[in-house]
Amino acid sequence: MRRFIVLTVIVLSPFSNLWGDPELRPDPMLLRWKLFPGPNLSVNKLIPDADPQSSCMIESLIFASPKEKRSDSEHSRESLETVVPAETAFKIAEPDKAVKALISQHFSQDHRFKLDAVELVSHRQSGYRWNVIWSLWPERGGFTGVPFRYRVAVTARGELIVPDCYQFDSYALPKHKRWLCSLLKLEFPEVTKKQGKNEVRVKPTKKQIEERGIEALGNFLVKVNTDLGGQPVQFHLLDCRAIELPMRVDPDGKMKTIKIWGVNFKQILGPDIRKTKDFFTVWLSEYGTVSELKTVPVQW
Amino acid sequence: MRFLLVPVVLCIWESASVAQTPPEFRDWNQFPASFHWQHELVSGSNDEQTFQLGHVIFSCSDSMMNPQQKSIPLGAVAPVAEVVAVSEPDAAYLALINQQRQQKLACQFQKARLVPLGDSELVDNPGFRWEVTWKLIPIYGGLIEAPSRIQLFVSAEGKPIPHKRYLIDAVSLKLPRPKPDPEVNPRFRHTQAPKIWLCSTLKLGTEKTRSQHRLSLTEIQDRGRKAFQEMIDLLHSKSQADSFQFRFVNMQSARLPWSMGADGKIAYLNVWAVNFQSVKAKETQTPADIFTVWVTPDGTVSRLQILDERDRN
Repeated sequence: MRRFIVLTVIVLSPFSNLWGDPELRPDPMLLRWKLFPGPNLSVNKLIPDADPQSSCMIESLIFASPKEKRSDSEHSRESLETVVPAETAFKIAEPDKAVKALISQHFSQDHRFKLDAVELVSHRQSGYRWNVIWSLWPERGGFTGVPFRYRVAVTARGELIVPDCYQFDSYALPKHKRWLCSLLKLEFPEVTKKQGKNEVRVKPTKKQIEERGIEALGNFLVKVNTDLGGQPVQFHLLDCRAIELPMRVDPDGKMKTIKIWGVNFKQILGPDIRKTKDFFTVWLSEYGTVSELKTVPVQW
Repeated sequence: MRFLLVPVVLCIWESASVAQTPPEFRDWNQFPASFHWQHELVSGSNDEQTFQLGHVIFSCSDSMMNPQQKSIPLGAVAPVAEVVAVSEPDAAYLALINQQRQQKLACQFQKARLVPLGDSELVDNPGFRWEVTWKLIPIYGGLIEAPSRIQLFVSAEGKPIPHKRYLIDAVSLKLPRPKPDPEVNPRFRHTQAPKIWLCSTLKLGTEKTRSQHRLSLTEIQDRGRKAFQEMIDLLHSKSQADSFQFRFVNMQSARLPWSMGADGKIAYLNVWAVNFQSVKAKETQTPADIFTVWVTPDGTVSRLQILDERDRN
């Protein structure tokens, strides 16, 4: 009998992720991206400072590396001989467990990082820069089309250029030919401490977050409706949810997460328009900072 | 006054060196921009990386780029400075580019890409290859036609993988537009009139093109005319395009910058151009494309092909 139990456990343990481990079950806000994928844009249409060769958009995450650093251009251009070798750039740029966990969470399955290329690019102003590019392949299969690519930049001297990470959501307005976008920069609360005093920041309650979300979207829609004209765009509140995103691995190996809020809205459509399950998420940080809301024209 | 003389002299000197482009390439028409059958001429398969400058196609097959011998791990690949220096087009390469483009160009380094040749999870050591992108910049400014960037390959150990070179020519013959019967084909949509392309391809740099044995001029001309006549007969019979008639124009010598000689000077490759022109053009008074049959000094004739767009759509 005991042997039977042991065998069953051994045979079934690899399939534990089918059990519905609640941490792996994707949040509906992230899952919706599979049914309603956003605009196919290059990153610098949404974030103008981003360097298109080392920034990437993976599901609803954006990793944006800044363009050439102006400070480097003050010194004379380094020669090709002093650039760190390709292997160094590759080792430095290797994504850590936190990035991989963040990406897996958005896809709701693990992905394998396969090296695409390590390239040295010559920029006119700031000399040379290494870009390391991986393509992502789902572990459990089910892939179609062009693979997602994760890109990271390393300076010629071997320093990693840590990309800014953004959580992104978009909603299509086909009649107005625009996308509504909500862009939240993901960073740890310590970064946003004011200089000097250590302010004890109060975390708003769920109700307060909801109110901030409604207010922000309301103001934004007023501006959008005056700019675009035509049929006014209206939304009503659906719900408000929080998710934890893995951001960093501590030196002792523990994964540190940050919490963000998503206030979800459904568009009020006329009776003659087909109903859709799509909704728009206004992201807010744990401390109540509202994401940047903007519109982007639809590009076919 | 004297101060003005020096720069004036220099300007005239510079423009003279551009005007010294050999006449056999100067008075030819531009290579037709609508020609997109480069792969057919070079190998017929799609596993070649090619780019075309003027009448020369540069092509590199996947098998040339993937080494069969033991692969080098990432830590041991040649350093990027060495790779870029080795891939830089030398004076002969630049001279060939300038000649075919009829423009004085310089090369500027854009990026060097190290690409793994296989999947590192499936194969222990997939090996690598360097791809260096150079941008072509017109020295005197002005527009540049595509391609403005060329990609040159270097192995992981730092040895350049040179492209194979083909000298080509192509002339299009426009067929009348198909007039379908609307009763038989009610859904017919008007498309562009199909063309027949006459193509001539000569692989450069093989033993044959570099041999010392030379035939006489008349023999060269005869071989060229014979090969052309065979193609025209085929055109009239198989492709049923009787209305296209051609006449022999002349024979010219062409000289291509090929490589750097041991003395540091550019070594040239000599090729004969046997030129033909469509007779129809004389009546319609349109400037006709000259079709060239290339013949090497030792008598190898370029491969002549007829590409019928009607077969391919």
